[in-house]
This record gives sequence, C-alpha cells and structure tokens, in this order.
Amino acid sequence: MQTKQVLSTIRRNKATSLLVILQVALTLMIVSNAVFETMTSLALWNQPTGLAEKQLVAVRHQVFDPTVNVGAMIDKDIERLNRIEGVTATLLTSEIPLDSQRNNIHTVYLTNSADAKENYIERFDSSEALLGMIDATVVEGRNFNPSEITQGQFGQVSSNVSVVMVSEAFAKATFPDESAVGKTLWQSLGAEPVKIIGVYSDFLAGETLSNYHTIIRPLLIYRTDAELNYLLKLNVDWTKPLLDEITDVMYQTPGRYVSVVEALARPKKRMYDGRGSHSFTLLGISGLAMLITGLGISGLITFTVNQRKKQIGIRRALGGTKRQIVNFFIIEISLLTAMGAMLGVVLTFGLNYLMSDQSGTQSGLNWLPLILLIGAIWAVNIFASWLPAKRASLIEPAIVTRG
Amino acid sequence: MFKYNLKLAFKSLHYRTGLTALMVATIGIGIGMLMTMVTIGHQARKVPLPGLSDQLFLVRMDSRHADARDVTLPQRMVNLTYRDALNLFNAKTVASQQTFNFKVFPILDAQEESSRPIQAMVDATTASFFDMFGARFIYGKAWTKSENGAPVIVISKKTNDQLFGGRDSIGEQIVVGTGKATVVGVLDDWSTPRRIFDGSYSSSRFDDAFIPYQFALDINAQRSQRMSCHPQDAGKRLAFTTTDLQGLLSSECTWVNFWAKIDNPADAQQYRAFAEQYVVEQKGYGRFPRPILNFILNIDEQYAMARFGGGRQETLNLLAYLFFFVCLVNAVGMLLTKFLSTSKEVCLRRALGAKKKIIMGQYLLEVMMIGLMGGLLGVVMSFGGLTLMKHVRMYASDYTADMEVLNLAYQLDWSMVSASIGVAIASTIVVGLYPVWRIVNVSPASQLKGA
Repeated sequence: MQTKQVLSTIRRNKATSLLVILQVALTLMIVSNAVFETMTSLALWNQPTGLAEKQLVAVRHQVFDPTVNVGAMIDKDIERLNRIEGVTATLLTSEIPLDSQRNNIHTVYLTNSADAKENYIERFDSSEALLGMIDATVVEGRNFNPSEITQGQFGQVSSNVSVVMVSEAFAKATFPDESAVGKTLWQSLGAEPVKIIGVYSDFLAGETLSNYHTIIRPLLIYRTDAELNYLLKLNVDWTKPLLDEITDVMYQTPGRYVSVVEALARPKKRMYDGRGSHSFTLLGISGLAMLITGLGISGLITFTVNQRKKQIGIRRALGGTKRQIVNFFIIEISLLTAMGAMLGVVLTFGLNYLMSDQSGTQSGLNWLPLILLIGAIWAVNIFASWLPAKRASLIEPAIVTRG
Repeated sequence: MFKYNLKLAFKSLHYRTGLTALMVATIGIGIGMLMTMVTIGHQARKVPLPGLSDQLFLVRMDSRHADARDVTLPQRMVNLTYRDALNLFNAKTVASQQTFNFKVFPILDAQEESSRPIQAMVDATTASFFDMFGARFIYGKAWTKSENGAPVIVISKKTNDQLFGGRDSIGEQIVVGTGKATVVGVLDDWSTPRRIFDGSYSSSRFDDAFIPYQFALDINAQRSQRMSCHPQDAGKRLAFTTTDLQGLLSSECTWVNFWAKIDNPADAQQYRAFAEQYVVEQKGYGRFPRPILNFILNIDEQYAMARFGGGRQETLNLLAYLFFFVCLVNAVGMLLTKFLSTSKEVCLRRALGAKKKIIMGQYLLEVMMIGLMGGLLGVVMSFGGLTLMKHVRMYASDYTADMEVLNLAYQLDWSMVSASIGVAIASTIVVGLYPVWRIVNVSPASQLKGA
C-alpha cells in the first residue's frame, strides 16, 4: 500500500530521486572497485614466512680491495661477529631468506632428457646450520652432515654437489603421491644428478610472493668479485644499537663496503609496502566517498521534507501516524537505493573493465563484497534519512489549516 | 544592483550556515582529492630542463637480431652498441654537441677515517655531457675533452656530503672500484624529479658520480646488466658486465645511451637522415639485419609519449575524477535544499516586480562564492593530500626515496592552485544551474498566501 504511494511520489519528484539514484550508483561504483582492487592486492597479505624473521639479520657486503684474502676474512668476520653480545650465530649464505634477489630463480629437471619439464626453484647455498638458524625443521629424511659441505673460493673448489634438500611445498608439488626423499634431480640437462636427502618446512624465499619452492645445497662458496651475505641470529630481546655495532665490526676490515645490515622484518615489510599503501589509499578514498554520500542523502531528504511539509501535514491531519511518516521516507530511500544499486552494478562492471584495461591486471569481480557494500550503502542512507524523517513526523497536522 | 545582489548573496550564505559549510566542505574535499592526484600527474609530466628539452635528442637504432620482436613504441627500442655510439660520437653531424653514457657500479672510498665507502651508481660519459645537460657545479668544473680517459671524477652533492662532509673536495683522490681518481667537480642538485640522461626517467635514485668513459673501461668497473644482446650472446651477459670487457665492446649488445644536441630543432630532420645513412652503411658490413628503424626524439617528444605513474596511479586518478563527480552531485542536492527554502522570499521579490534576471544574478553570485570557498578549501586539502601521498610513497619505498626529489614530485604549484579554484567555481556554476533555474521559476505569489 505504502509502496505504491512512495512510487508515485518518486515519479513526481524526478529531479531529487534521480540525484539520489545517481549518488548511490556512483558511490557503489567507486567503493566496490576500490574494494575489489584492495582484495586483489591483499590476497597474499601476511603469508606465513616460516622463519624467525624477528631474530634474523642480513649483512650484505662486498670487498673492493683486491689484496684482501677473502677466505681468511670470512673466518675472522664470523669469529668477530659471534663475539658481539646478543649475536648467537653467523652463517655465510648465497642468498638471504625473505630477501632472495630476483635473479635467484633456477631450473631443475626430474629427468635427464631433452623434453624434461622445467621446474622453477629458489636456491640457497649454505651449511647444515641454516635450517636451525631460521627455525625451519626437517620434516622428512635428514639434514646435511658436516662432511657433505664443500667450502672454499669459487673457481678453486668444485661447486658440484651430490645431495640437496628441498622444501615441503616443492616436494609436494613435484612428487604428489610419494616421498621426495631419495629422488633424483638434474640442475641442468646433461649434468650429474643430485639426490634429495631431506625435506624441510617451508620458508618464504623473497619478492616472488607465495613461492615456497626452495632448494638448499651444501655449499659454502664465496666469490671475490660479488656480494657476500651473512645471516645472523640474535637474542630475542635485541635492540637497534646492535645493528650499528655489527656495522662497526664489519668496517674493522678496510677495503670493503657494507651495503645492508638489516633485520629480516624489513624485507618482509618491503614485500607488502607497495600493495599495502595502495590498498589503504583506496580504502581511504572509499571511506570519504561513503561519508560524502551520507551527507548528500541527508541533505536531499531534508530538502524533500521541506518541500512536502504540506502533504505531510495533510497526512497527519487525516490520521497518519508519526511512524507511518517515518516509514514512508525509509521506504522511499530504500527503493531509491535499490534502483541506484542496480545502476551502480552496471557502472561497477564498466569501471572494472576500464581499470583492468589500464593497469593490465584483472582485479577480481566479486559478488559477495558487492552485495555487502550495497547493504552498507543502504544502511548509511537509512541512517542519513532517519533524522530528517523524524523531523518530518513532528510536523503538526495544524499546518494544513493555516494555509 | 550588483552591489545589492552581492549583499543579498552574502546574507544568503549566512542563512543556514550549516548547509553552506557542508557544501563548501563537499566541494573542497572533492577538489582536494582531484587536485592531489592531478598534481602528481602534472609534476610527473612537467618537462625537465626547460630551454634545453627541445634541443636534446636521444638516439636509438634498431640494431637487433633479425628475429627480434617488432617495436612500435620508442621507449621500447634498444640503446646503442658501444661501437655505434663511438662511431656517431666521432662523426661530423649537424649536432652542435654529442655525448653518450653508460652505468657502472664501483665502490667509492675517500679513504678517510671520518667516512665510509659507498656503493655508487656512476655514469661513465664524455666531457660534453655536463654542458649539454646544463649541469651546475658547486666546486670545480667538468673534465675537458682531452681527459675522456683520465682518472678524474665529478661527484654529486650527496656523495660529497657522504665522503667529504660537504667540504671543497677538488683535488682529493678517491678509490673508484679497482682504480683511483681525482675529484675535479662537485655537482649541485639537479632541479628535476626525474633522471633524464640515462633515458630511464626514473625518480628513485640519482647518480652519485660521473667518470670519463674510457677510465670506466680501463678499471673495468661493473656494468649494469640492463642490456639487450643478440641470441648468440644472451648467455654471456653476466661475463660482459663483470669480466669480459673486450667481448662486450665487440658484441652486438646494446647498452649505451646516446644524446645529440641540435640547437635548431628544425635541423633534426638532417640528423635523422644522417643516422639513416649510417645504418645503410653498416648494413654493408652485414650488421643491422632488420629494416631501418631509428628513433631520434627530443625530451619534449619523449615526455609526450611516456606514461608515468603506472596503473596504480591511473586508478587513483580515475577514482579522484569520479569522486569529484559524486561531490558535485551532492552539491546539487544541497543547493536545491538551500535555495528552495528561500522560495517565499523570492516570491515576494518577484511579486514586487523584481526581474528573473536579477534574481538569477543574485543566486549565481552565491553559487560562485560557494565555488570560490570550495576551491580555496580544496587548495588547502590538496596540500594536505599531497603531503599525505608523499609520506605514503616514502613508506612504500621503505624510506629509501630521496625526500628532496619527492618534495619536487609532490609539490603544489601556482598553475595547479589557480586550476583548483577555476575548476571549483566553474563546476559549481554548472551544477548550480538547475537549482538556480528552479528558484528563479518559482511563480510569484504561489507561496505568499501562507506567509
């Protein structure tokens, strides 16, 4: 009954109705696309690292003085660094977990044939101490024996290995139905095969999020012409000055440059910085858009109340209750919101298409958040029209008799 | 009459102050958001080196392998091989000056107690570079043409601060990778948020020093791996950037940026013809297997084609425009409310003989004032918005970005301030037309009876 009246009112107030519909549709379009993009970029938010990143510190450095004996320097470094109070262990690694560099993606093959499939994997060369240091565990098979580790300068010792360990994620993806332990891999076609002796719990390798496919080789090999990495483990309660102390110790050896001394929490932060800040900017804009819409709707309803003072008075005089008046406005705004939402969904899809065209990545259209947002906008609109509607219900019936 | 209207408009602003404030706030927030995003784009597109930007031409030639993919965008075209760069550099052309550069990454060490070594991003280039790009020196000057192989170095202000605490370091010896060089110049900051001379237009990190190209080759400083090679050399990139210098110099790998300064841009055609002739000549030696495709574009032309900011910034831009539109739709509603609540007054005035035109004038004036205030608020908002976005960017770069560069990139300038106010007033008038039309057409006497 009421609805029919509302519809005819909407028809008679085309301009204001259209404004509300437009307002709702545009807001839905903006906010839902912002939310879609946020969901896409945060889909991989806060993945488990599988590491004790709060206790780990990366030290990257490079020797530029050709007269330095790098092998002896490394031994001395490890000894000196371990002597610092708060440092519990120091290890030479080819790459730093969580911060492995972009060119650290390697291929391994399951067979030694020309048509073998390429499996991509991030590689870490270190000793048997690595897993314990980062708090990863051996889930199957065994860790390296100290006798299996090859130590020395690149080019002077062979970097061929016969045994490796792989991550659980890689093991499961590559050998879905059987144990990976005892299986053979080829690092390049025609090369000597290597045997998997153990599988360890997953840890995040680096920038390429969601990638837990890693391999560890028993190699402590250093180059004299490239960056060297140390991984340090600290006591739980370490504080910032400890990093400066580490830097100072590193610079006690002249002829080298220390590029990075940072806790692994930092590269972890970096992984999410871009997507995180973009998402929060979008959500900020969305929040403002909702606020503005609420204010606008509130203004429009106030306007219609003023316009219809007389009609409202008549209705009250004819026995309409205050409740009915309030309901009338609530139904009106609900109907308008529904119409706006329908238009908004169409616009949302349009903008989504446009945006994915621009950024090149498809941000996922998702019905659930869309429906939730329509609900949210509806709630905001009802909230915004509540006060003006309440005020309308207070119009005295006597207003009619005055005219 | 105008004065009277002005008085009425002012009075009307005071009437229902809350609604006026809300309207100004809505337009202000909308403009603020829009101008924040537009300014970021505006600053990104602002062509650096005014006065030189139409004379400096980046030279790129398609010397790639016959099977290479087709390239239509100039920014996707490869740079020059070392041999072509040297050939062009030594040729007699219409260009008044030419230079080339490539990146090396040696460690710089002042060998002083007070400073630590730095891993530097260094441009290896020619003596002509500094004059061509209008480099300003705090101390010293560029090396001379005869010193293009000499162990000398020009360092940036930041490097001078790090290595020498900002003092006049001319004549000091510093370690450059495996060699040593004498400081001959200290540069002032480049007043541009983007690195132009390496063709990257990157805004992240500026070059720490400049050394003569032959000296860079002599000390075999580690080169950037950003090079494109013919298939037979694809696997040698790592060796080419570290050990195998001779292999790189004689290879078909492209890694050298080449610039020509053509004082009269009309002569560019002549230079292009020369470059084409050069490629034809090289084809005679069995090089340049692909059809001739040279891109010789000045900075203005490159900027016109470049897309800055990437997808994310464009998304924000688009949203800001839509957001502003929502704010305007909002303003329509509020204007309607505000104006039509004065219907009675207008009726009275109309009944007393006031012309529609005069009433329209009064309300338009009020709309304009609201627009003006919204615009002014918008300027304040966009200042805040830019500051916020700057800090977001700083956070996103994990505090590695250079604050001085960001200040340039997120800076409000007068053209943007006036644009904000202009857009605010103009758009408020446009959306105000319907409410004004409604109030002007209130029929005289329709509302008087109840009063």
